[in-house]
Amino acid sequence: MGRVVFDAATHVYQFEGRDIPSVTTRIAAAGLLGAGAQFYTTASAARGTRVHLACAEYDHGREAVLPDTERGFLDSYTFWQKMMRPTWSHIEQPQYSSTHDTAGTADRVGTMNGQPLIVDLKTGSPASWHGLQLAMYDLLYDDVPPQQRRRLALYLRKDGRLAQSVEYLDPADYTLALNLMKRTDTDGDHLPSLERHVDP
Amino acid sequence: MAIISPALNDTLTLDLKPNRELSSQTTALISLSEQVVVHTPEDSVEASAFLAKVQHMRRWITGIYKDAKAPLIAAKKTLDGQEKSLLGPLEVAEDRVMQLIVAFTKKEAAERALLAAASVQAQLAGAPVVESPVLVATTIEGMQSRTTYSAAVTDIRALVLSVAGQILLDEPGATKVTKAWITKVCAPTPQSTLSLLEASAPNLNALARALRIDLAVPGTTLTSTVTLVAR
Repeated sequence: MGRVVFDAATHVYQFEGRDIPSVTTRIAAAGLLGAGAQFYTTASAARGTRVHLACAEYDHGREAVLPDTERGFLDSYTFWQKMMRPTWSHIEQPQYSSTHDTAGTADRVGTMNGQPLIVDLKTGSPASWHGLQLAMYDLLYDDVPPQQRRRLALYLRKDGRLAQSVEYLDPADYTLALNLMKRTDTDGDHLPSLERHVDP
Repeated sequence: MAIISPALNDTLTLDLKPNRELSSQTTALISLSEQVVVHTPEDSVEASAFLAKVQHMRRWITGIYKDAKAPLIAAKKTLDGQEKSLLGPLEVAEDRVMQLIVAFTKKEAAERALLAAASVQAQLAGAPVVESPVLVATTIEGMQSRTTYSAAVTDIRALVLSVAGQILLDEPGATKVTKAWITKVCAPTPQSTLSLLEASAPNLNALARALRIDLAVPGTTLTSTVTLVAR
């Protein structure tokens, strides 16, 4: 069994030398990123990447460094982390599902209060596709049967206040997820570069 | 000066021009107050006579405005009553209909979720992937469902113990036995932060008035203030 390789610079996943469509690529290809997608800028994506890295460093027990203007996002995450005390089995680990021929990187997979959960950190606002995104991630990580994990999006706040967690509960997200992932013709090479999406 | 006179039973006339006499007397007193100095017992007696004048002036102004505002307050009370008598039944009707729609929508959503969950399981087991069902609107366009969350204290003692317990657990130096006791007695959780508690200023002030210099509650400080009041 090969290992999925993620190129952070190009946001391309490869498995056994082949480009693999990612979760966000599939959502973008379906046109489900919504009107908000037009406001995603290189700067906001870069900020999201820095915050994600800092949060991961924190969870690995290492010192996290961020510009002062972005420090609040990290404080917002650590505030939530200290209150909820989850246990992570995967921290930003790329995953590939041969069943669904899709790759992706859930920000966190683990347990909280004994329940399995999958978490995506957000530095932006809630969007209609976040539940779908989490359902697709859930389908990639097969250590727990699908639909058993809690799906949380954690909206980090710039001012350091406690992150707002939103749980996505609609099973229809999985129906749509399976629909989007049943396509086998969405080789990453054929997708427009815009759709190699990184959500902030 | 605000004069409000009931011209008719259901109308009010308001004169909001300031009273010049009141204004000039107040200005004069304020101006005089800036010249008051107290260096000798005689100065102090003279100043206290001036203080009495100021206090009388203040009470006089308060009394005049209290009388002037009384009809307005009564009118507001009448209008509030009329508004409430209209809004109250409307709110009851609004709530009733809203609860009917919410209950129906919840039931529909629960049934749809069960079907969707079963459908997903079947698809994962190899059944053909089906299209997502089209959602049927249950409200008019533009009406959105919004869930809000709030919490209330049902056991203040349990809350205080939990906050205190968490503070104690976070303090260095506690033994395992102490920590176990704190955990058992206080049920601490990292969510029980000090920000959830607020000291009662009225109760603390009442205690200060009762105990005066004997007040000895940790984390509080006693302040005594001397004032002079003319009878």
